[in-house]
Amino acid sequence: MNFKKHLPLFLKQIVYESKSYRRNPAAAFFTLVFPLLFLFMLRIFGNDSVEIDGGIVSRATKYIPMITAFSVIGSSYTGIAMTLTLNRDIGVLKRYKGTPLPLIIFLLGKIAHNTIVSFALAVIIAIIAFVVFDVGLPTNSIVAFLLTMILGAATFTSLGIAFTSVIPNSDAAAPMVNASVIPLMFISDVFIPMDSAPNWLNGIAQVFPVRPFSLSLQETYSPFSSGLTSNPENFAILFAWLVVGIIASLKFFSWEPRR
Amino acid sequence: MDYTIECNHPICVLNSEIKLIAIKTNKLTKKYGNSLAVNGVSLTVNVGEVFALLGPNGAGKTTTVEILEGHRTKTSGEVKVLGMDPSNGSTEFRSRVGIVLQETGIEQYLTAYEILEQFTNFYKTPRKISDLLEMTGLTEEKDKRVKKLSGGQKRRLDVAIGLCGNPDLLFLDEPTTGFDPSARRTFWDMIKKLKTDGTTVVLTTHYMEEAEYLADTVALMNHGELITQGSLSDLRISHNKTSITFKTDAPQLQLPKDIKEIAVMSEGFVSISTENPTAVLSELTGWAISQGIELSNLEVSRQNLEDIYLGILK
Repeated sequence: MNFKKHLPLFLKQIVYESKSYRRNPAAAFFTLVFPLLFLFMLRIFGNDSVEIDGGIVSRATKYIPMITAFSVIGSSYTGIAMTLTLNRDIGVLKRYKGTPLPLIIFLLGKIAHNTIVSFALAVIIAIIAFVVFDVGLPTNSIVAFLLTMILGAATFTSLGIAFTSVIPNSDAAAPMVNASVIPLMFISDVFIPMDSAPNWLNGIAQVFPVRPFSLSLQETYSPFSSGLTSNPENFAILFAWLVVGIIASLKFFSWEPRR
Repeated sequence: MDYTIECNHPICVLNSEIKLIAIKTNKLTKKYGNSLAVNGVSLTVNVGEVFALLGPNGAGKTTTVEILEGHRTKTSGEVKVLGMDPSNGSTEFRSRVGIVLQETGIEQYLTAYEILEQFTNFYKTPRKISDLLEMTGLTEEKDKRVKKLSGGQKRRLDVAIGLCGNPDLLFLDEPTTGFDPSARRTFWDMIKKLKTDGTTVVLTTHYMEEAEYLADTVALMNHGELITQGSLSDLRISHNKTSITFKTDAPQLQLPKDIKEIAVMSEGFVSISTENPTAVLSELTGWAISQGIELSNLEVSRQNLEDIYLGILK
């Protein structure tokens, strides 16, 4: 596999992915709907103070990174698993299979495009949070923010691709994808703060990628954060899942519906 | 070039009649569970010919073609396509083969031009996009998004995508289903043009006149087996019957006994299928004159592919 030779092809794939995505305004809009809905709820609940590690912050500062985590997982993991399964059912993928396009380039194109979309989503949420809720932008831990976002989006996209290998068809995609991730979100500091949860439960959640991702994002928004070095364990866990996702995608990926 | 050369005598190599083989299968079999979708199919496709694979629905045509394309793996038997094993899915194989499947989705939000641009990127020596658009009559539609194309235009885009890599071998699985008659004519002319450029074409179709118009070699499958394979003229010789038809208004026609046995009446027409047209025609006309009957719309014709097809499958 010659990556240098395939680099232009990889970049072009991202361009086509992105064109196709941008021209489907419904898909792009609904990626944003859920975070906006959450932000609206946050507005209704009021923005009083809550305690986090290190001190007192506004409720929005606590919840914005959790909303970001939820949205990014939705657009990367859930989004890719659903579109890939649909494209597999209607034969879009089988057409690629008949060409010399290498599988890895096809998959990396998807991962890169989804990472860009997720990143844009996180930036939009950050700006709304800054303007509407007076939440400070994660500028003092910007490197940690970038790394968390890139690593998180790439990890969840690759896991979404890998998960399509057990989804039989697009009718089954939505329930299976949600069943695989929403329970995890409940125990992973995405919907509910898990500060008072029993250790064993947090221990279980910490094995999977959702909690490390949400915690990392919370770190970057925290005014008391020490930035990149604050919790390397979370990055390590995300990275391990990225490797698992890519290897599983390459090994089990199917261009055609499961019979 | 790594085509297989088949020959029995050294002279053959010097002989201009040697045929290069594009596809060769030997006792090809595909099992799904206990059912045999393809049962011991041995066929040969020569380089540069249009090869039509015919048969009713469920005959095993698509499974056979998908094995040749590398989309399915065989259960047993031998397959060589352009000298390679298609199931490996090697880059070289994929670069030299163009595939137009029966029903395949295309990204809805890209334009015809962008789709072709994307697919030509995959190949080292692609065709020019403007050529692809012109060949498939899509030049005027090039900036339309796939979503906005008509069914026939989408099908032509399918074919254009299949041609992006300038393939040596093109698979067309029921390419003209849903075409209106004039679009079908245009499409046929395009295939003829490809053939003169040296492209080998493997075609499956339900339209007998399509196979008759395009194919050099015809193979007929039924119940997973290859029933017959040969050039159209070979088929005509081996199924050498002539059709005699005429119109009649008489509700009850007292035809001579031996003609009556082979005649079929439907919708006011009598049709007779025979290997001895001279004798039958002589007897028929003699009888008609003696009875004072006019054989209006009398027609004597060789059987077309559809007659042969239906005759074999009977």
